[in-house]
Amino acid sequence: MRLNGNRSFSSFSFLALASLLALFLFFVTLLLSVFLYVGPRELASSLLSEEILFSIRLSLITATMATAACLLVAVPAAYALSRFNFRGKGLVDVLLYLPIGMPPVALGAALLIFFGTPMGGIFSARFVFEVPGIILAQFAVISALATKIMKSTFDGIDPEYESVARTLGCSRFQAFYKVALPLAKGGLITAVAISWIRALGEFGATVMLAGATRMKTETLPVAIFLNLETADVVKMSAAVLILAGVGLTALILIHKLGKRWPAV
Amino acid sequence: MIRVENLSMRLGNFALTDVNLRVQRGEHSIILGPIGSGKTTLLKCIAGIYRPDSGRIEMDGEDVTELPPERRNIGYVPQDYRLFPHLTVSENISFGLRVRRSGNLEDRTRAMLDLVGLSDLSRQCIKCLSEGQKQLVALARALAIQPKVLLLDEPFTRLDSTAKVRLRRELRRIHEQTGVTIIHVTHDFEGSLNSRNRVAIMNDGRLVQDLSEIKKYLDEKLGYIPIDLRAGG
Repeated sequence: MRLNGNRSFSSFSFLALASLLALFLFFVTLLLSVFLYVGPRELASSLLSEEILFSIRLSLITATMATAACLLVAVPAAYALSRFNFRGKGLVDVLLYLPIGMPPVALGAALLIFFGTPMGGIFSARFVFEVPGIILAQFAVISALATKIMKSTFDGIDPEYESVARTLGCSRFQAFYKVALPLAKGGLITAVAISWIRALGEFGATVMLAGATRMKTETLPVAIFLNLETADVVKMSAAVLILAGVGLTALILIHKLGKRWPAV
Repeated sequence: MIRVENLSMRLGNFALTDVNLRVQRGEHSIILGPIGSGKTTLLKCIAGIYRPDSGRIEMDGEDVTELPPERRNIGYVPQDYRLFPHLTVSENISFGLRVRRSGNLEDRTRAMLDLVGLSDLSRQCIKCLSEGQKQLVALARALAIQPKVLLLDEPFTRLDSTAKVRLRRELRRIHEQTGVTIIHVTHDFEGSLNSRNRVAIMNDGRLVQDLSEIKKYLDEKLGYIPIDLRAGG
């Protein structure tokens, strides 16, 4: 066996590789168990059922809209956090990342409580137990993550690039979109892909705010939950496989694109 | 003419103190000083990247102290060149022209490529270039916008000794050919004192231009006074 930069095969190397193998087998077994439980024909008919097709469509639409809305805010916010110094920046930094360390179900509960207040009450009819509520819940969960990824990306780009661009005639905004943003392409793709996967799989905050109504607010994770409740294992397995397949495809895409656009 | 008057700026523990500098049109001025003496801070103040706490910067009689970098018409070449890695050589050179929507973009880019002798590399990516070629592209990019002044921050630091000699010669030729005003900061005492340019010394945030003070400083720093300066030139 060839090991990177090390010819000796120590007991630690064995332990490390055994852990890797165990982890790999654990996830492969999880996925294969779905196939063992449900036959391909049953799976195919479930995939084409009206309910699962509705879930796929709703999940794709809401995750895409939440990701787009999140990036519109997260990219400039991350740029501001990376480039500008202002009083209370540390506090803003910590508060913005709070949703990463907070369970989504708690975030969803906070959203629900907000819509119960006099200020939130104005919009509650549009969001609570409605499809826009799904998008808002997903946005709440992914925005901190996208901001974190983009801030790390901008931190890795020397501001001197933008300074040079400005001496060449760019305004601050032009220096951002003509220089900083293209240089952040790799991080941007990662932020899009991870936010989108995370939004697609979002359950806790979604259920709290938009509820779990069949054929109304039934995203793929909600479909898993609802079909588990009615003991429809075939449909549940179909939803699990779709989510796993989409997630895996997105991760492969990140890996490939990450090689094409390495960090500056 | 570039005129810096009583410029002061505090940056953390470091301070530029009461800097005065005059550079005539077409002159190639060298500011010499050890690392951390404030040379780059002074250049960035002139470029508009840093805003000084007090003092005044004038270009051709116009007070530019409060102007942002994009309105100063300055060519700035930082120490690491900072060429845009997502653009090719010619895209880097024409960057400023495109931003300014210059009409003669292609002709001007070609002229700059010819000036620095890199016409064959116009479609190359930046990471394919040698350090010397990167320096020339950075010079061409800064010169393309026809700046009032070219600010060079340690332009030869990253080059080996052969490339340094060649680049110094190239810079002299480019200066003669374009007549652009140059302010060039460096910590390379030996290389700079052998040139024929006007020299000022930056030490601990202060600029020394008086000849007797320069001689005293160099005597302390190098242990000798270069021949040109001994004669009082």
